[in-house]
Amino acid sequence: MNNGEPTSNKHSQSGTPEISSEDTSLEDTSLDDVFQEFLLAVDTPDASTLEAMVAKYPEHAADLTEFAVEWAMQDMLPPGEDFVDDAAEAPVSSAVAKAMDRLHEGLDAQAEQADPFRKRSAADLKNLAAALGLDKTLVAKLRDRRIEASSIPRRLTAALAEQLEVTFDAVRRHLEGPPVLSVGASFKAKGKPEAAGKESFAQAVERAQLTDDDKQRLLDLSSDDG
Amino acid sequence: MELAPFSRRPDVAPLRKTTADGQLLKRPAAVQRHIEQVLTLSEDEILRRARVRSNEDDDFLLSECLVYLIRLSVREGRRGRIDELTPILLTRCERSLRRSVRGFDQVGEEEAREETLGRLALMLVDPGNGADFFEVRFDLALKRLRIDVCRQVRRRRAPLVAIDGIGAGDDDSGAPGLDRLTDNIDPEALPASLDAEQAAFLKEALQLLTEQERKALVLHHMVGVPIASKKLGVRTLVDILGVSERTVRNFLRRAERKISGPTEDER
Repeated sequence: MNNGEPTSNKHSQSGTPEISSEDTSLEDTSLDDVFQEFLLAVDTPDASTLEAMVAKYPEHAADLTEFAVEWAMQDMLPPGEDFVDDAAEAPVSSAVAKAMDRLHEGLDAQAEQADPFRKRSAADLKNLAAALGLDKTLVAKLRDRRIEASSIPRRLTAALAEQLEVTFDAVRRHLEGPPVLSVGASFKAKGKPEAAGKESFAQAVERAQLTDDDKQRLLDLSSDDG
Repeated sequence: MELAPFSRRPDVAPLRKTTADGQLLKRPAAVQRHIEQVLTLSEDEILRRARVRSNEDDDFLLSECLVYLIRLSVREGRRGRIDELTPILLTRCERSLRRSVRGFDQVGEEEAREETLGRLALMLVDPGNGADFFEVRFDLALKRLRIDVCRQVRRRRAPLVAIDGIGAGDDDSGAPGLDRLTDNIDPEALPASLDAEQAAFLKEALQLLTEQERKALVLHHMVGVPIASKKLGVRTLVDILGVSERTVRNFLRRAERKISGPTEDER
């Protein structure tokens, strides 16, 4: 919780720090995760804990050591002066404003990333349909941008973003793009294939192979959009 | 589908990061309850409570909860809500960082604070699970981020060259001034034991150290890493710094001289 420094020291009775592979270490041992595990193990860095961490993550030995140095030094130095800021509605500082600029850049960059459906297999799309309560045709239409973006409920867009692990803006930008040919269209058509026009979300739902209740549930999502 | 405006969404999305034994990372029960309760409020009320600054106020929103609300807003693509809530969280963090970022000159401290806030902002909008721990123990996650940023800023700003051999003797006694400062260190108590003059001197002196000197000094005197050892498997300063024992002792001696301050005669 955010109301105090960490309190969960983990030392055995012998005083040896316990670096368990089960309770604190995280599956994908990114450097951030390793540092977090180190911080969870003890309140202040000590040689035996550092040694245990390095033994567990030898590939991060140099970073762990440097982290321990910085941690020990930061803890030893006296705290800085209190930030006096009594204004109820004080404008944000330049540091916060710069951070917000980076946040917006991050959101924009993610939105500009490539097709969020890229590299999704047929099985992925089937799972996506199941997770969202859609049928495969509806998912394909979303993937191929054959539904008018403005008619797609925000909640559905948000749920898509969550399932695809991209931002809302990335999905929305994708949906707003021009429709693409469905896979195989060029083999079926006699003449030069053309991208189909867009239909409304309500039309797409109406044509989907879903129960009436499921269709109604999807159409009701639009009621949140105001 | 689970998404709805805050006021209609009492359910809380689970975290996605998994522990080594395959279990999903979980928020503490108190944080979970807090978020569930907050999600029943109107958006105006949430915003009002987010602006409460004192954590002793009953209406104060936990930072873990603010992180959840911001990440939910990112998932829902609600930029207005992101722009309202995120500066509130970042301002809280900045107040904390003004006290906790230490050991730099003013420019370095500003650089470390800005970098920490910037990286936090990017983590909040990342669709992956990198910020999950901020919803579990915000203070600890911020501390990890701060220390990581500080070490990188310090690396960029450190004096680049250690002139080995200067003062190379075999004086292993160390500097008595440093011993007084660092023996039996209780890191929680030490800051309080330094008067303002000592603290200012220590802060300044640390910036004079080369990277090798600083590493040797801190690892030996504060972390407790031995200079050398005949025991197999014990990680020593000789191993870590990749130099001879004699050179390690030179690093330490020079660092100790710098940090011990002027002697009575030199004053």
